[in-house]
Amino acid sequence: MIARIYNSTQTILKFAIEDIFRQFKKDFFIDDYDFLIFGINSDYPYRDVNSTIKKILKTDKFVAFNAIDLFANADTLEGIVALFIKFERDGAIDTYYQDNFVSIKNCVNYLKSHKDALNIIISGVSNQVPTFLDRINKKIIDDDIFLIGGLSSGYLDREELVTYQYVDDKIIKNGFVIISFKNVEFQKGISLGYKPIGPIYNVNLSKDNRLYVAEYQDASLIAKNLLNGMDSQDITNLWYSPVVILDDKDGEVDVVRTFKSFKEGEYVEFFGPIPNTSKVKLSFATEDMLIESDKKEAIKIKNKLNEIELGLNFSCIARQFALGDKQNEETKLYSEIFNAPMFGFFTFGEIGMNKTFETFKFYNQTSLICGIKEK
Amino acid sequence: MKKIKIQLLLNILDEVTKRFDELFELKEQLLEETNYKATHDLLTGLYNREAFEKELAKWINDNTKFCLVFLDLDNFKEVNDNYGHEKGDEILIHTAEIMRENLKGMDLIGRIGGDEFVMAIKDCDKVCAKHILDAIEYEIKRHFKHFDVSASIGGVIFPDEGENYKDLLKKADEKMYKVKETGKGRVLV
Repeated sequence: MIARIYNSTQTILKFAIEDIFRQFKKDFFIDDYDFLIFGINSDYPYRDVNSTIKKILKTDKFVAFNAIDLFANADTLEGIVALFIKFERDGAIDTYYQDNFVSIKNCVNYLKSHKDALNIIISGVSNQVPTFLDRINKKIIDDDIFLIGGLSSGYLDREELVTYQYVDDKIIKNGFVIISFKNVEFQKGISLGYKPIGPIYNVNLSKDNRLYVAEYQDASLIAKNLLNGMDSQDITNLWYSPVVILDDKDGEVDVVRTFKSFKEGEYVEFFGPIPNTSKVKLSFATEDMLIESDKKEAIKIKNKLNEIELGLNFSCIARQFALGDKQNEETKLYSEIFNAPMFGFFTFGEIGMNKTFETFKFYNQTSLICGIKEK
Repeated sequence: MKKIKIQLLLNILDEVTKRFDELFELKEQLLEETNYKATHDLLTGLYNREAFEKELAKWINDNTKFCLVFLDLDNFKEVNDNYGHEKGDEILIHTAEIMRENLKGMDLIGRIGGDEFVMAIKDCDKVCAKHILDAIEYEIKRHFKHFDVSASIGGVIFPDEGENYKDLLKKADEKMYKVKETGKGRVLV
């Protein structure tokens, strides 16, 4: 498989796609492609994405999606990043999409028919995603299906959060697309790096992403107390200290949840569900701890796969925030260790496998990485 | 950013400290509860036999003058038999209240058997003791007249009538029995 990544930060959509196409045509290493994946900043006019790509590249073999920041090899940028894929043997790509989180039947059937594939999911932002994944989990528990990806990230455009996917001439506004790499070898890793600290809070009352009562006290106090003494009461200050939900079986960290908001006397809200009666704990990481965790996971993948032809990184926007000055180091590090083209984006939530790789899970504040090579 | 992180860590430390304080308070509370259960009669809240003896031993060691009193309710068994144990328990609780109301905070009260109570009235001679105990006996008789329950009370003075707890208790018990044998519902000091 030949994977090549081009990018453009031209502010006009047409010029940016033309810029990318120009780079492709000039590239000595690739003269054709089987599939294209575009990451597109949500500042570009979303209605024109399908038609512009189609018009300039004269193809419909592509999927595009919105992302605030994108990874282009060792760089992180706002603009457009395109991944050009050319298979050299039996590699191939299938796609599946749906514009709702209601029906699971077709999606389950698709996944069951792509058991050996690397399935990459890119979804719109919706509170329905975790429940949707749970419903699918019940149908695929023993099927050995692999899925990795994230929620598109975007800005608000007149009260509409532009986190869309573009496929088959359609704009998916409240759904997802799955891109399945067939006949490829792949290895995956979940980089966390946050160390659980502080007391355990027993969740007494929660619903979806909101935690109302913990330790028989108003849960909004957790956020309020953590912001105490800070010049700004901005909730992003708490992105350095997300909560971890502990696994009820082994007490280890199950998933991380990023603080979203809080209403004094009522609730604290996260970017993902907090199950009722679960146990949560605060956590903390320095930039170095996050990078160290990234390094460990990347080396594991490299050692298992030896040669990598394409690397993918789905990294939470809150994680990037917490990385601060070292924000660019994550993708640079992956790029160096994999020694391969790197593609990925800042997510509004990651989708990956659980610890035992049996079910799908909705994550926050992680970096999900994957190394791929054609069989 | 560093400033925010440091403040965040301090606030997390505060949360930990708060939790430690809560745990410490909980431990103290449990300890207090355990001690209370080990030293008190749970029905009336009075000292149990062992705790009463232990407290009184301190007075004896200090040679503090006191009147040791043995109180036994008359016809209590009939209340249990005719009205049930719940009514019996009510009478025991009320008897304890009457004793508390008529004694000072520094005095000792204990329940050492079913309807057997002991009191130690500090710095008290026979006249003073008789006065207090008559009031207790009167109150018990008045409150429980419908059940025909009264109190037979015997009291002895330390150190005049005995040197140790066992000896004093035996003598108070004998006086109480004398009251029982001679018509019940009376005080003999």
